Amino acid sequence: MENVISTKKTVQEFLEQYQSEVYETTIDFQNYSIPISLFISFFDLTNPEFNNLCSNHNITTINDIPKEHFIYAACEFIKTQKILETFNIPQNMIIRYQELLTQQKIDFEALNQYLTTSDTLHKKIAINDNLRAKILSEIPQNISILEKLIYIYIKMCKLFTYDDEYIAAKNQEFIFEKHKDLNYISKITPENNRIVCFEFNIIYAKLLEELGIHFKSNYKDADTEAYGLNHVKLKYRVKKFIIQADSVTSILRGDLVKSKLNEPLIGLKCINKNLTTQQEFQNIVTKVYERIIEQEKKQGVYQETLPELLKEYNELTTNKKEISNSEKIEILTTKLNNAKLVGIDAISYTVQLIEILFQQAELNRNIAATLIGNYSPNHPEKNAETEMILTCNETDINTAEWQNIYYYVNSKNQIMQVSKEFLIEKFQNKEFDYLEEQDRIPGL
Amino acid sequence: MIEILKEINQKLLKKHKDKEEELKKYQLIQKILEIKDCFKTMKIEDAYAILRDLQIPEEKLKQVYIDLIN
Repeated sequence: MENVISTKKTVQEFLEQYQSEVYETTIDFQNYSIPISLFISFFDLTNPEFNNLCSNHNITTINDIPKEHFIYAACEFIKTQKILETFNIPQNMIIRYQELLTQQKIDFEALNQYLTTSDTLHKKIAINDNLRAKILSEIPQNISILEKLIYIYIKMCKLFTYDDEYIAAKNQEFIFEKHKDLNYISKITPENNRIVCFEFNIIYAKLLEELGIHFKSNYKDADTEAYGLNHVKLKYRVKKFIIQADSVTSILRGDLVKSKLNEPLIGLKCINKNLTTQQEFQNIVTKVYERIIEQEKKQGVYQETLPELLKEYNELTTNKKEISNSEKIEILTTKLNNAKLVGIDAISYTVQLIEILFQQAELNRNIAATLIGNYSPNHPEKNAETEMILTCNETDINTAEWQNIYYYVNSKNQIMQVSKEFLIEKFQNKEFDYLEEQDRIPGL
Repeated sequence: MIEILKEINQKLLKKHKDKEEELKKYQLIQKILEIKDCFKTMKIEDAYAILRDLQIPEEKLKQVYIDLIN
């Protein structure tokens, strides 16, 4: 057996090398010279002392250094000096270091990030005065910078709409060129409000800069600033929050649409690893969103959403009653058999129908939709087809599976009731198979 | 079909103009009916409740609903 001799130095050698040394670093433009012995003492704290120091909000400094800065410096020292690779460090120090890197004990992830802006194109654009007024004129003055930036994002999402001409443009270069032209930005107004992600990003970027915030657009790298080629978003930092702004995560279901329905936003998010920080950010977004809704209600321009209207309606009607699963299945089969859809379109339609016909609890208990592959397809030019099995049960599809009723939705959008034995035989013959390893038809 | 429901609702709004809660209910229904594809988005139980409030006979609910989600 070969002897493995550690080439790492000992703890004693580590102490000899660093005990009297000072670590110099710059964090958020602040220069520090920190005795390394302080780092050693920090990592050597007892568990209760270490945990309390990290999580106690009343403790804001360590040796007169802002706590997050100190811990950032300690971790940076270990990383840049390759301490773990060079020395046989005690296990508890390694564990603490790794714990700190997860950012869950204390969040210092934003430090030294977004301290400058290298983007340049936003400096070349002009924002129409009316547009600027529409976005900014009602911004509350007594809110934080972060809240202002969130406010601006939401207002912009509500003001703009995605340019459907751009989606349909295909080979019409002039439509693409219009949106790549920085001069076009000044022509965007509250009335001429059809945009794509490029314009939203650069207008938001300009307003970020006016508020003193540094950012980075994803199209800016060391050598190029390729505006107008690919999907655009940006990131910025406010204090401990690292924020990503992407108003068009989806053309049909992104924030340009969601904001108009007062639905939760998906494109403005805190990308810190720390879960508490993420939740704090979300709470701030909710607060700003509610403030905007209050403004809209006072102005009489607020559009209630369908869920909001239905909630109010449900408090007044006495006509809401249970509908039997058999009636729901009958409606489902009627609609499917009459729909002129095939393939994935038919499956998608089936899923949409199931969502409106069944309550969430029923979706887990009384009905299941399982996609399967049919490897003996009817179509002469296909080797396989995607189809669906619906499992229905008035009681419970999993615990009363002997009462399950199965429907086979084939690729021609025909829906027919089939027996359990039919399905078992199809699976045994390998004519049918599941698409994913974890898929199962209840009761089979 | 949706236009027919809107007309029915208008009549019920006039009928109940002096009954605050009923009036509010039909005003809400009026707003709901204005939302594009509302019946294709709401749960069937809400749809049936609205149809009952619009005095669609019980035996016709299913067929009217099927037509609405076309």
